[in-house]
Amino acid sequence: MNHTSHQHSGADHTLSVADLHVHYGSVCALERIGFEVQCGECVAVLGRNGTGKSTLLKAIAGLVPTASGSVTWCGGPLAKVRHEVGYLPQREDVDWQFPVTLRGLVEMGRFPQTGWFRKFSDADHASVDGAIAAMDLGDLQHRQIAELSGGQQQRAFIARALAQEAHIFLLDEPFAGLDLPSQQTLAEHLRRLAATGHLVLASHHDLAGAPEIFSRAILLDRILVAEGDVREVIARLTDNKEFSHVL
Amino acid sequence: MSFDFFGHAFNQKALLAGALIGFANGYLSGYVVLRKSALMVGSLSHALLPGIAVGIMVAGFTALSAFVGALVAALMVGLGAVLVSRTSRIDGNTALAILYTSAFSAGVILLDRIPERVDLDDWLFGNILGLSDGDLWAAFMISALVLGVLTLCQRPLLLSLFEPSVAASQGVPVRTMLYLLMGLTILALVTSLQAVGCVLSLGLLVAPAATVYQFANSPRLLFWGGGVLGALTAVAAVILSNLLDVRTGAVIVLLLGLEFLTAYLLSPKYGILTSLRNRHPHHRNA
Repeated sequence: MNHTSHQHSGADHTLSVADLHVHYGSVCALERIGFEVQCGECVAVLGRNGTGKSTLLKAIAGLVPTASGSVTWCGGPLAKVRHEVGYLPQREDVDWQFPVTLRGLVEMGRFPQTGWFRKFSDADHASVDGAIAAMDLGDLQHRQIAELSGGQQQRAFIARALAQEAHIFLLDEPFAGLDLPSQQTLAEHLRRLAATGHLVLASHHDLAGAPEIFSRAILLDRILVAEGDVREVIARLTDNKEFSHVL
Repeated sequence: MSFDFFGHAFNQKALLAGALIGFANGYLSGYVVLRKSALMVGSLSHALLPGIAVGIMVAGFTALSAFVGALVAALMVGLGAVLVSRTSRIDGNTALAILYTSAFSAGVILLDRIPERVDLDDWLFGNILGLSDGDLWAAFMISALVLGVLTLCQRPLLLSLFEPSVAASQGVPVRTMLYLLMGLTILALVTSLQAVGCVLSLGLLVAPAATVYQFANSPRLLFWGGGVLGALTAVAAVILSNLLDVRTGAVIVLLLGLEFLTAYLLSPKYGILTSLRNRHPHHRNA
């Protein structure tokens, strides 16, 4: 169960978000967001519904236009190296009836490397095999994606990002709707991803369980309310009445 | 009897045309099903008529004039529907329905008045037996072009259909891909109009892959399966319609409909009978 490991000098692999604003028409979804996180970290994006958790992940992934601000990775614009980003959408945003097997889905992750025309090489197949094995999905690779359980579906999308050789994993509510064993399996995989040098950012709504999974936390309420070690952020939240409106 | 049938140059041409047009439309039908744009294609197939009529009036009866006319008509109806929906209380579907039926009516009147060898009935319901050598060549060239482009652009097209926003963020030109698909659909429609007619062409551009969809779990199987099913069905329909002396276009689409119904009922995995049986597990051992 080896995740592809990334050797970097940690300081270089910094995702830096600065003065980020996102608007949906006249509605302001995110305002003045700024933080820095690094490879090897597992970061929870916390906040109530409608506080901009999904929007932040989508803005980093380049799925929604930003009104102003910047997102940089290793010192350069993240928009220039989109293949570094693996994005896992919310369940309802995926067409689960699409005629694709788990393996077919993971193979899509290789398209940025293969381009439009090049045939899959042995290395491409090996990468797909490795990603599927890393997520413990080897026995299920010929199943259509709707025939997987919720947790398996999440891991299938993570495997696709692994096959893509992404460094940054953006996951929108990955634990939503999963039973407890599936949550524990997924949490274990996310911790391993971080331990092998990837950066994991996931929106999350269960405060109590967050320290088990994540090392850092970002708390949103359209603006950045708090940021830091996950236990400290949660302790500040529960101790301090000024934050009670946030959760 | 069968010797006579296959011996006629007339029928050989119809068989070849059926195989060609059936395959190209069947292959493309996989994309139409994945794009979930069947009704859009249906309105397009009707909207093309006035464009084809004007194209023939201006530049004579060639595949190119028919295609350019069809393209202009499709664009006018499509963009017109967007314009009306953005500038009034009327929504896009309502606007499209009004514009395409109006365009269709204009096409019917215009085509009825053109002194060409093709009857209005043939435009509406197709006449695969009446195709000339030139029509067959045009169908061949168009089918080759459509299949070639679809094969070359399979990866970006699939990404655009599966997760458009993610694909766009990864640098896939999603909008261009979807317009390309629309352009190829219009091309395929221009060939199928002569074979099955504009009223029935939608069936050929949807049913083959919708049938295979009841069995297939890979896009490649959907496309190739749709192509093979489309070709076999069209060839069978040419033979059957000759034996029964009925319209070939109608037999093609009716056979496709029956195939779909069979798959819908009997597909071992997604068929309605299987899901009913799974809902009542005590019947399983019966």
